[in-house]
Amino acid sequence: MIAEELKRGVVGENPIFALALGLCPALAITTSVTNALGMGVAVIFVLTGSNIIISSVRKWIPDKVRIPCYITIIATFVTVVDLWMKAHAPVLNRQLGIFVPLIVVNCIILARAESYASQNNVRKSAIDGIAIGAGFALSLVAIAAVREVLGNNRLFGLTVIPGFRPMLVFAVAPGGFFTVAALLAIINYLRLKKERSRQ
Amino acid sequence: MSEIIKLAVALAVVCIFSGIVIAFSHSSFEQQIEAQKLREEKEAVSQVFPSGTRILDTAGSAPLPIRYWIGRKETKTIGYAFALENQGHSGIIRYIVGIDTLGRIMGMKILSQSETPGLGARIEEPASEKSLWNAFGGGVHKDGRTWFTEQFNGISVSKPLSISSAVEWPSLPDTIKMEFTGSNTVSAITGATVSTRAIVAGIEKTVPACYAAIRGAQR
Amino acid sequence: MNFAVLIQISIGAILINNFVLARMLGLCPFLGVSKKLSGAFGMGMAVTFVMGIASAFTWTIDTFILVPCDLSYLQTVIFILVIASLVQLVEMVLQKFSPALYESLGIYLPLITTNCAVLAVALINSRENPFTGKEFTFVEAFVNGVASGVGFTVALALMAGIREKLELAPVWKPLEGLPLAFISAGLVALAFLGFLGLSFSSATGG
Repeated sequence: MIAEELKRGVVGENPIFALALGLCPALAITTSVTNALGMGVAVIFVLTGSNIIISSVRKWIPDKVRIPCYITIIATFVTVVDLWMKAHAPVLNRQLGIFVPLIVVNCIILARAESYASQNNVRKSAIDGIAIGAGFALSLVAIAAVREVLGNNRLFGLTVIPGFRPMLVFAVAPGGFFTVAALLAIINYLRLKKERSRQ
Repeated sequence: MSEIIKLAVALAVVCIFSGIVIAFSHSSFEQQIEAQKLREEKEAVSQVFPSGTRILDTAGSAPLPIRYWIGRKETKTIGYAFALENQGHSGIIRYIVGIDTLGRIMGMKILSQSETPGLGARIEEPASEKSLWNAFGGGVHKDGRTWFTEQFNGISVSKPLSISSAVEWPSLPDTIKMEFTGSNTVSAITGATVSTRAIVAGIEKTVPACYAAIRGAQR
Repeated sequence: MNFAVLIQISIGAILINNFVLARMLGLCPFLGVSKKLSGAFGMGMAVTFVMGIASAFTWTIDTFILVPCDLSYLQTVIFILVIASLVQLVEMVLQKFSPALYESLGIYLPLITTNCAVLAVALINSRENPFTGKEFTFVEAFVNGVASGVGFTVALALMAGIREKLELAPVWKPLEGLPLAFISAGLVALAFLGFLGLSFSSATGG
């Protein structure tokens, strides 16, 4: 059952490529795989944590103030992650910059809180958090891998192809757009092919 | 009316819990965050001195207008480090420069910069000789040194510096490198002359005067 | 009043470090609302308004309450709640005074709360001003907020114009929709990279 949920989070309801949520960090911090991994893990933590809490109190939060309540709960988790990073991973914290506090407005977390955690029990919400978070993290790493290799000739900070002069465009903003466009196009192509072969 | 009270109470309870959790995390992490800041600063300064140097922070007790450190080995002073900053291309660059007692640069460490990635940001580019293929065999080389800052080693601050916009330092043959150091020349990052000039100007406007002041105070 | 710094901030936020095309913030509404030029302008104006007011409020709270009481770690929570309340306020005001605009913005109006750009500008204003090396003053923070909103509007309007035309063009199936929008955005971002040459650093004569 968990494997099924993971598959849903990574493939079927992949937040970046299927739901088009959480795009800001997907383009802004995917210049290196280490940053992408760091952000991915942070988001998994915040998403799972807030899903669990929101699901546990879903029966007591009045409908009219639910959004501010969700935002407060999510912001609390984000602040905890930010403080933990400053204490134990300050280099990563500096690299990710304002995108750590910006996790609070990552559309994925609020969307999941609104559409899943507020309607399902704690266990299901927790698994959903992990699954969607994993999907987000893996997508980030995929984008970052392409951009770091092509744009900086590095992977995890180590040179990949000695002597290859990297294409700077992938390391700056436009490259993010192009990389995601290319990955999206590949995914669409495969999806259309599968649909056509099914007919 | 009662609905408003219900809504307000719900919101208030959530905020109170949030406040408690955040306050708790802050107090548990506070010490480590402070310790990290101090450790990072010490590490940055120690990188501009040769290894094994004892570093004294002269914070506040110095006659100089900027923050500086004295490096000692046994009882001898072997050098000084200065905290510099200058306006770069797209923001302030903060860096530390260490000089020996003869006024020659021993090392430079960039603390923070927000220059253009791929251009000015290359002042921090690690001189990574390790690639994916030999990293696991020989271990990962992680001392944080960069070619741009390395080329300043041996430059004298008692003479004016000059910038060459021709070939970048790593591609120069060793003989030319030695010539550059002798003639107080550094090579600019291609396409990032502003950032290069910012670093050089930052040194020139502060370090010679500070070095002279220290030598003067010693006499 | 240092006008030079204000102009640097404005040009920086609109052209050099455009929030959408260079910093890559505010992308969700960017891709959702940028299909029609008129909708794009309305959205842009609303976001600019919120960003300006949010900058003012969050700067005041940060400077007079958070920093003096050593509570900077509460920035994330406080700022986002201020922004959420402001957006609610804007919603109510629009509903009353400009119902047409309110209708055309639809679901995207409350979504301004989760627009990374608004929270981002509030956070940037609480950090160091890259042009002066000191903290942002109130005017600088406000100008930064409004200028960033204008930059967002400019990017949105450009994208809307492009996408309106692309609607009529035949496109290879896998590229239809979002991928094509991303490629267009990427090309505009590439063009905006040219503005990097607009540097104001006269300190080193460069």
